[in-house]
Amino acid sequence: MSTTNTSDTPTTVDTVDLTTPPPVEHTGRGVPIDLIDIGKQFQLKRRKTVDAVSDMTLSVQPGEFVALIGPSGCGKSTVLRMIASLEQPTTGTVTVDGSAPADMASSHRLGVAFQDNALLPWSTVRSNLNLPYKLAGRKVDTERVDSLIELVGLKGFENARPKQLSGGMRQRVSIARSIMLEPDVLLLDEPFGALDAVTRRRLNMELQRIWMADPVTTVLVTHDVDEALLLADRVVVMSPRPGRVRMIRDVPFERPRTSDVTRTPEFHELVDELTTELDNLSRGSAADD
Amino acid sequence: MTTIEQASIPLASDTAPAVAATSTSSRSGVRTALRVARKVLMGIVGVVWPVVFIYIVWALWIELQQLPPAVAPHPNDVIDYIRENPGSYVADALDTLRIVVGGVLLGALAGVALASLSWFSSFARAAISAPTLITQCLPVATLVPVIARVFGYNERTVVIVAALITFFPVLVFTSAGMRSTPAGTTDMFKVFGASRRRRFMLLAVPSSVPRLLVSLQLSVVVAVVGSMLAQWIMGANGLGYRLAVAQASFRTAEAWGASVVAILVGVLLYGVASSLARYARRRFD
Repeated sequence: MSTTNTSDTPTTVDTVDLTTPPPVEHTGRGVPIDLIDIGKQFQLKRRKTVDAVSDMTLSVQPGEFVALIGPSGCGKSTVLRMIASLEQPTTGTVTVDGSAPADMASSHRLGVAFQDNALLPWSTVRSNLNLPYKLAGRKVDTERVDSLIELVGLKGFENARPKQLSGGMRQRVSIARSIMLEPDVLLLDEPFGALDAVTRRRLNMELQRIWMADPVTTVLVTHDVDEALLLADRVVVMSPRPGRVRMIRDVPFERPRTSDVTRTPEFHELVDELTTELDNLSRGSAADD
Repeated sequence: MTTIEQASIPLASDTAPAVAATSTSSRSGVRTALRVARKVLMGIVGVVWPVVFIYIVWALWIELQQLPPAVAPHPNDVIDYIRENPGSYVADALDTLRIVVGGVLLGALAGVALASLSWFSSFARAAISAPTLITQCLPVATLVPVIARVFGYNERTVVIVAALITFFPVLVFTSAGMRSTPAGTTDMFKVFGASRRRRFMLLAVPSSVPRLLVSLQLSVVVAVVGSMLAQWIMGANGLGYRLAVAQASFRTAEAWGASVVAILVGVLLYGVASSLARYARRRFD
């Protein structure tokens, strides 16, 4: 737990050592996540269930960024929702920092961003960003809100309402809101899934920058291999129905991973390997149907 | 001329082409004026057209059927009667307005309170829904004598009738509104560890506002009719009572005049409620 108390010293991009090889010990903040033999069944009709996730074991270390990828319907979002306390596993246990996810949620230690930006349409950008403080019953830290508005590039849009913003800007607000209270775990469920390819690429770069400013334990669910390799320390490939861990790849590239990194043969090799695996898995699941 | 043309070029992309000769500011001024004129015209047509339509159909009906004034008056007779006795109708109209607004507010309060209770407890929801539905299945004509027995043959009973008419749509729409939160927000509140009370105040209540106002839009009109019916049945006072008495004495111009005033009151209240609802849609969605 020695890694958690870096939070009281402000971490900036400068303090991240870019010269050392990718660390196995994560320098970031946050708490571990442990999924032990978890399974999740959904009831379809009476006496008919579907296994969304089955026998899945995975540990995320403090300060580690893990991406879950897999064909659609492989239960990756379900896994994330279990870590977020929104679903209960049917079998097995999910713990965050050794305790139940629901306890983490009620002590306001989780941050989350969804594909639907989940912004309050009747509130301005600023009051949407104040919301985590209000929900936690804390006094709004205006300086922190201001600095995050600056960090995600929304200065000048504080008083705009969500419908006046573009999809990309809404997701920036959503990302800023997710890290507002400096959560111990950050959960991202396809945060850029609804955006066009260009905006998505730009926001991936920005998310990398934002995350490097405060590298906290993060689980990202995505179906985009490039996004996973750009952002994560480890990429976990899940097989569909029931969702299981099919393959885990460490991502060895140093941060920041610029477009120079993404053009290297090593990067392409990993993209190809993961894409081929995803194609095979999708074909397998299509044959099931 | 060239400078004006140049000035308008950067803005030409989002406006209609081939208007380069006018400056952008006066062009947008003209466009705004046209938009406003169009809106005003639509408003006038919206108000005038139904009145003209009703007048023509009514007049044709009386004239073609050769109905005697004791059965149904000619629209001109009704207009004349109102013009000759405007004061009496103003007092009645204000009375009706006061009663209906009071009843609708009381009913809305009750509806919102019950919807809130239902939000917090599924037991409360089950306990509330059946009895409230029953109150709506009974015709006003049956309910009025019962309510009058409790609250007296006076204005209070009329207010209660208007409230009874209002609270049910308010309850149903507000309940639905409280549950139709924007996509993902309920999950977001849970993950951020919001208490139920905060989820109610900061999410359910604002989500319900647009539908609550739509329910008021529906209720006010029915509440006007319902309170007139209550006055008619109780035979105490008010627009409904006046209609009953005048009709019974074959003073049909006066009776139909009361109906016209009631329609005006209903339309006015509907107009106010729908502007509120329009504003809420802009503000909350």
